[in-house]
Amino acid sequence: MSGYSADERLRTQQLWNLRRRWLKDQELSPREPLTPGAAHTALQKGWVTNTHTHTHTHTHSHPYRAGTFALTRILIPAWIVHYYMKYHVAKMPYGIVELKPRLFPGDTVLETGEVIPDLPEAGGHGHH
Amino acid sequence: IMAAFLTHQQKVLRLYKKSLRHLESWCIFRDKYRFYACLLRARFDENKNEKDMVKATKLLRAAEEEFWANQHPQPYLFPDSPGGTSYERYECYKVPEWCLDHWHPSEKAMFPDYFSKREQWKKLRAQSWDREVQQLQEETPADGPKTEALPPARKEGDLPPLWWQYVTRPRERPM
Repeated sequence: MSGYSADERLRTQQLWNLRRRWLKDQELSPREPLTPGAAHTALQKGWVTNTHTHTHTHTHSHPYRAGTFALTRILIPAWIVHYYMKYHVAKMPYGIVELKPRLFPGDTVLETGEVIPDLPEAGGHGHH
Repeated sequence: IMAAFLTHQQKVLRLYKKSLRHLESWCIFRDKYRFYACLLRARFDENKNEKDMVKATKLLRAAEEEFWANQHPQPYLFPDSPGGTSYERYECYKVPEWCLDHWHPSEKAMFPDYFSKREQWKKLRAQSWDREVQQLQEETPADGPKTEALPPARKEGDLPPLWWQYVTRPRERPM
């Protein structure tokens, strides 16, 4: 009474098999797309691939990959190396100061050896 | 395949399913919904074996009226169902397969394997068409078809009649 008849099931199965074959044939072979002439540079290859295989995802676009490369391969490692050099390797600290020592006339600046000169004489202009 | 007229059984089943969906919209808590769904099922099961079609039709009519009185004002709609927000959302991206026939030969030359396979499929279609029509003519009674269901392929090597449209339809979600 209920459900599909044997004929309907058989037809569905036959169509299903054909559909499987059809979808299988929709896949491109590895040599496709064939591009005429020269696509020598990686940039050209990427461009041709992007425009003809209908895989327009931003992950394959040139600016995205360039940006990813710049960030993860260059900027972040440079950051880490710089941090390590600054805080662990460098013997003489430079620019790392918790509290600047007060300097008075006659004191010597450690890094440069400069001697702080005396305060200039107060001008006699009547200002305080 | 959608039939033009519904049988009594189809009407009852659709009413049952619709009632369940509206009940689901009424009930916020799932356990409560399950409770009332069981009661609903019991009410439908009471007259499951009704043989008197006049009485069954009257019962169905009473049930329809009860459903109409108790229906939810804003039942839950699945997004991809008719009336939902994403109903037919991807229809506009579906491209029929014959668009590939209008490619320029220089474009087709870039996909030689694909288009050779495609030619095979088109040859298969052309070869099987006459036999499909023949089978349909043989199986159709003189006073018209009795059912809307298409027959399967009966003979070895035959393909089910009018298979091309089903087999080569675009994907549900075009890539």
